[in-house]
Amino acid sequence: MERPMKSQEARKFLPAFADGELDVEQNLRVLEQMAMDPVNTKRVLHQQQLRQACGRVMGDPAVKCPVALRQQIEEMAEAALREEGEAGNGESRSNGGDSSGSGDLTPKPGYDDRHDSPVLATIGRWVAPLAVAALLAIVGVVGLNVFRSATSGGYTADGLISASLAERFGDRHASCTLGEIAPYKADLFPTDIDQLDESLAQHVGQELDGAALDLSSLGYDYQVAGVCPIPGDNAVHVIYENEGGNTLSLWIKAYNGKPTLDPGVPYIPPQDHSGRPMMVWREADMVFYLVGDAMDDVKKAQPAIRLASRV
Amino acid sequence: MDSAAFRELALAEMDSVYRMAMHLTHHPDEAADLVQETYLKAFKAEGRFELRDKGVRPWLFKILHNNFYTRYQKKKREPTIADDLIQDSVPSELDSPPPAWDLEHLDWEQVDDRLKHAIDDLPEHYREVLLLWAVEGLKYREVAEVLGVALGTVMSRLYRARSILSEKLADLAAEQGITVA
Repeated sequence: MERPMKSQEARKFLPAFADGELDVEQNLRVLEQMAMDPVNTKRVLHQQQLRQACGRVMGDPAVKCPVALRQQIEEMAEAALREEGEAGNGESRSNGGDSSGSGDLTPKPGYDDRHDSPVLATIGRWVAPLAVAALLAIVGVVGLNVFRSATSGGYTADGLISASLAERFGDRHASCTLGEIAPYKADLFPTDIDQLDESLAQHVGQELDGAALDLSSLGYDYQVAGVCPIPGDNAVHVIYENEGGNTLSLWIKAYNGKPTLDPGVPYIPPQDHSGRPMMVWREADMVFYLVGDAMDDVKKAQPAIRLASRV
Repeated sequence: MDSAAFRELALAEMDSVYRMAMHLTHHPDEAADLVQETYLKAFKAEGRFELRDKGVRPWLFKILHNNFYTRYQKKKREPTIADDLIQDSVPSELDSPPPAWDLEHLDWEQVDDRLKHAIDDLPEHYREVLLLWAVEGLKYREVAEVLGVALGTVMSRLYRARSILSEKLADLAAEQGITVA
């Protein structure tokens, strides 16, 4: 006769049985236990009821991907497909490349650029811009060092924002300006910078002089604006580009006491944190984060933007 | 599978991926950002995808999970002493069989919100396992692959998560005058 399950076995096998995770032999063993002791049946039932309840309360079908986000991702997929078509490759996509049949779900690190997938045509187009971006970053590092040695006052260098946050700004700037990621809810912002005031006031919650955000006098044209999760609630990300292809990213957010900044005193995070020339400053009740491809341009843009908050 | 078919499958999972991102970030904008990044990476790496029983969903969840932890600089949690206690059967309050009382006796209209809060209050590593299993319907093995942990770790985290929830529901049952065995 089958011996009763110990606590440890019951703990392991009964929930797994309830979840349909056991093999035939293990299932039979649990069924015998359920026949021997009705409490075991109740235990299985409890586990099943709990799973159903969790699925019901957390799997709210009303939670759906927002339409704007869905459109962005669908456009991303269509663009990738178009590029593959334009590449005119008739090559078949290698499905994993190995014959091990391991079925590993994990995208492997060190993705091989010589792989014959047509997707590489998509990846390949980023190689050149990334190389340019890397070059610009190196130029930026040199520029920053020169700038630091040439200016002794006016900028503080304390660790006011974390390295990880600075890195996120740098990454976000690169992703958005290279077109890998679009600012969120961009459709809610005007295409003309002269009409940006109202949208900014609505999203940032502060009155701004939009004219001061116009950097065309510095050769930088407004490209797009949108909501951004960096650095936190209700931040707006504005992107500019000049004729040479250099870009600037400006984040504007209502000031909530963090980071601890003295009004009007810009802060330059170490560039090995952000990977890009970056300045942060606070004016009145707003905080501004400016990231660019060239430190000189960041330095020129900052005084102009400072005026934006002085309404 | 060709690229178009892969993308069709991937796009069909957008609601699930977004829902999971919402559970992880608790913020619609951050969730949207995470989902966008997940799909970007998925489209780039689709050559590595192999269609399995559950389709593209676990694969997308794995990318989402990795993005989330990378983005928020959170170290992947290693199995802890608590997990080991469960797995290695050290006698403790955890070393007891599953509860046997009938949840159907509960007044769910009152319980749903409190259960949701109880799930939200679970430690993150328990909550994620629970959500992938209960909401997204993944098997233990698939949850283990998504999270990059051992199967036994999934089982122990899930057991612990269920035990915590059962304890909280038992308190609610007591409030409703239901006797819990």
